[in-house]
Amino acid sequence: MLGLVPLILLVSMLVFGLLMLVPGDPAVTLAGDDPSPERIAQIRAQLRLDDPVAVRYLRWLRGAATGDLGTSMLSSRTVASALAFALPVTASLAVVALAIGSLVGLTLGTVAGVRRGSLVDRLTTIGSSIGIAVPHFWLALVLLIVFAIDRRWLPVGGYAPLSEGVWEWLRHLLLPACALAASVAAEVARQTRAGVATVMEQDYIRTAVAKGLPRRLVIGKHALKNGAVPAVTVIGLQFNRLFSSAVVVEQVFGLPGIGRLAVESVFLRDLSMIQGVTLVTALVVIVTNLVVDLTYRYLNPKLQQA
Amino acid sequence: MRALLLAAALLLLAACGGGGGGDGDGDGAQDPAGEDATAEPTADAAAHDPDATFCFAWSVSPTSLDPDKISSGALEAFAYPIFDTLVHINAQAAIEPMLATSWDVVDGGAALEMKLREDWTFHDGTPFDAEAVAANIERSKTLEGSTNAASLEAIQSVEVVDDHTVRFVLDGPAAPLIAKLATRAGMMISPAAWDAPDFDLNPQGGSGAFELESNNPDKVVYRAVEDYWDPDKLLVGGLEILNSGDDTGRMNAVTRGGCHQTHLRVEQIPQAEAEGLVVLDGSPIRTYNLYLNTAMSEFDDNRVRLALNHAVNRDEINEGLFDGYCPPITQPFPPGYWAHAENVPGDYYEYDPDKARSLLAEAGLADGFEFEAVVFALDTYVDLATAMQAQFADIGVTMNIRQLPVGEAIAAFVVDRNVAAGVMASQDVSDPAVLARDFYTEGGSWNPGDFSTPEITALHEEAMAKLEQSERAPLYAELWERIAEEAPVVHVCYPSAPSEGHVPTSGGVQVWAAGVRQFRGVYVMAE
Repeated sequence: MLGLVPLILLVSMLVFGLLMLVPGDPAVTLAGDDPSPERIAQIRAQLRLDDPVAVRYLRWLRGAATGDLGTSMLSSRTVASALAFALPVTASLAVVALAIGSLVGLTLGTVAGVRRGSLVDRLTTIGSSIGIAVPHFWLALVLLIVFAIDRRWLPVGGYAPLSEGVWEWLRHLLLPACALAASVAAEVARQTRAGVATVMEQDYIRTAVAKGLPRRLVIGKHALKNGAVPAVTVIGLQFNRLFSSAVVVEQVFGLPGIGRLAVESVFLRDLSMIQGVTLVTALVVIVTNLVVDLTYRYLNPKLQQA
Repeated sequence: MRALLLAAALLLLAACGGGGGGDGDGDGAQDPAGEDATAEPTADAAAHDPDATFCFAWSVSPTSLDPDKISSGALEAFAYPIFDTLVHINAQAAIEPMLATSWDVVDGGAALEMKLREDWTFHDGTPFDAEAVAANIERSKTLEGSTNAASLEAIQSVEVVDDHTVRFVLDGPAAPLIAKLATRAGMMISPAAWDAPDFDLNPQGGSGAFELESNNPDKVVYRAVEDYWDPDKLLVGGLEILNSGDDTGRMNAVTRGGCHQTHLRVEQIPQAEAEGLVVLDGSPIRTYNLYLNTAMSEFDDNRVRLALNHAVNRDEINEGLFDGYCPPITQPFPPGYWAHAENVPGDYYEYDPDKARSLLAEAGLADGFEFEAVVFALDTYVDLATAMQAQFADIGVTMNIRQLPVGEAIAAFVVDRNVAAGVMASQDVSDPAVLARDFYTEGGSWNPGDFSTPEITALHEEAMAKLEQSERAPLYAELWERIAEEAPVVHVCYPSAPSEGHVPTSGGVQVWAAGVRQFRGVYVMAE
């Protein structure tokens, strides 16, 4: 856990440094209709843009340490409030995508691993390759056209918070989540298939079968628990990938998540917001990896003893 | 104080999708079956649903809802529903009463006196009166970082004559000021409300037809106020402005998502029509130009400037680049605007490369010359610059193009003044006096070379001092002709494409002369 702090510091320094290299003056953008020298100078003074880079970084760091990520350079919105609005959207999208992808992947992978060489196994293998290869944005557009534009079964975009009802929330997330879930399902299915297939060859499985245990117990309790260990690792890594992949899908479906916030902030050179988005994203990645490690240790007791 | 720069930054902040309107019979406007954005809403009071929520799909979010902190004209659209202005510019660019019911120039032109509406209060119950107006003007002029201070610099002081009469003591002409009072500079806020800590994002104490209900990054929601002073212009129960992201998202929001209207790019017009949307005709008051710094390169010579004007094939650019949606123009204002001059037609400079070469030879530049132009790093402007570059090459003139983001291009040309030319859109202005001052008088903010002539300056001052558009229009006709003779700018064309699309069961969005949308009078037909 202690390693998190220097890691986050390093990420924040790198991003801050890179932002300083971005061409253009945010004060010019902020001046809008009136980019007179006086107005630009006034804005630069207000935002203290002329302070040395190190001073600006330390000022930001001091605030971040106390939970104050600053205010958007382009609006009066605090970075924290903007993130608080956007993070649940992306998190919802990632969770639903992960749930769909994991469910489909684990199911298909298990069936394929248990029935190696069967038609299901071959179709799962082919489907996995396709699922990994297909770009998210392409799949998102296809789903949008088929299910929202042509058939009008689901909304074309936008986000409904949980406060508007679970079904409304899910309706708005279903298509974008499916676009992201394809690659998740593909990866999980491959890993699960390989793991289950290997475990099914083990002696203790044959012993369990010989003892007369029901097949569903053999598969569910013994084979899957051990065979899914690599899949759990993949699921955790997929969650991190979903956060970055969400950028394009959020644009297609007009979801006001972290991805869209990041894109808009970069185009408008909203340095405070970019720094905040980067920090939060880094935290998500780090925490996710930690959770994956802990889950992995739970599933593999040998690691705990070690 | 440098003047405001509107259309370039604001239109491109709105992803070059700035609105239409202001021209009911503009040259080159396509689709005669489309609606005229200049038409007043014609909803039958019995046919519209007074409880409906009108939805507009856009691509931006407000940076602030405080009228004194809004940074660009396009974003005023978010504030117009909440705050009424002292006067109102209609779709024909004529000034109408609003919170001010009448006005007059008094004391020999030294003051502007306004009578105020007596039957209205701010949303928080604070009386709307002369004291409130004076406080608003004071705030706009003195608030740190106020984006309205420059617009109100002609006001030296404000006097409260009586409860509903206010007098602005002037240090400049009245006509441009009156026009500015139709923009965010004239929005009236309850003085009891503006000190609230979250006033920037959640302003209460407005004076308009709507109150703010919520302001989130994905949409801004308004609800209608009770007993609005102009009930004929409040025909819905609510308003939503969505931030729908890209072009496809906006189109989908209207065709499938329950929204009623969005703005369109030229390439979206066929799809919009195929989907059954009503496409609005109209032109924003905007031109595409090559602005010249007359103090740099060879541009101090009138013959060189004329040569460039004769070297541009405006018809070819209109047909080849814009599919006929950008008719030629050689003056600042397109047809249909009251300050447009019929005596300066689109073919004022005949396309004549031979004449251009001859002019250059007279100027001692028979071998041509070279200069650099900054260009907004957006497809429309880069394509336009590239076309002009090729046409100039025909007469031996080399134009080197440097692409920059909008704000930086403007800064390079008008702030740093280190570039000879700029390919940019004109600013949308609330009054031609502001444009004339910025571009054609010494010290003008868009006049880095300080170009002017005594005749031009005199005409500008005379036109600026008049109040009525009928008196000013002939003066501007003469002014634009004098300017055309001097050619300090290469005006190329004006965009005339339909730019708004709405479902057939709604209507009423006005896009007035400066390209700013107002939702006054929007309606949704009852099912």
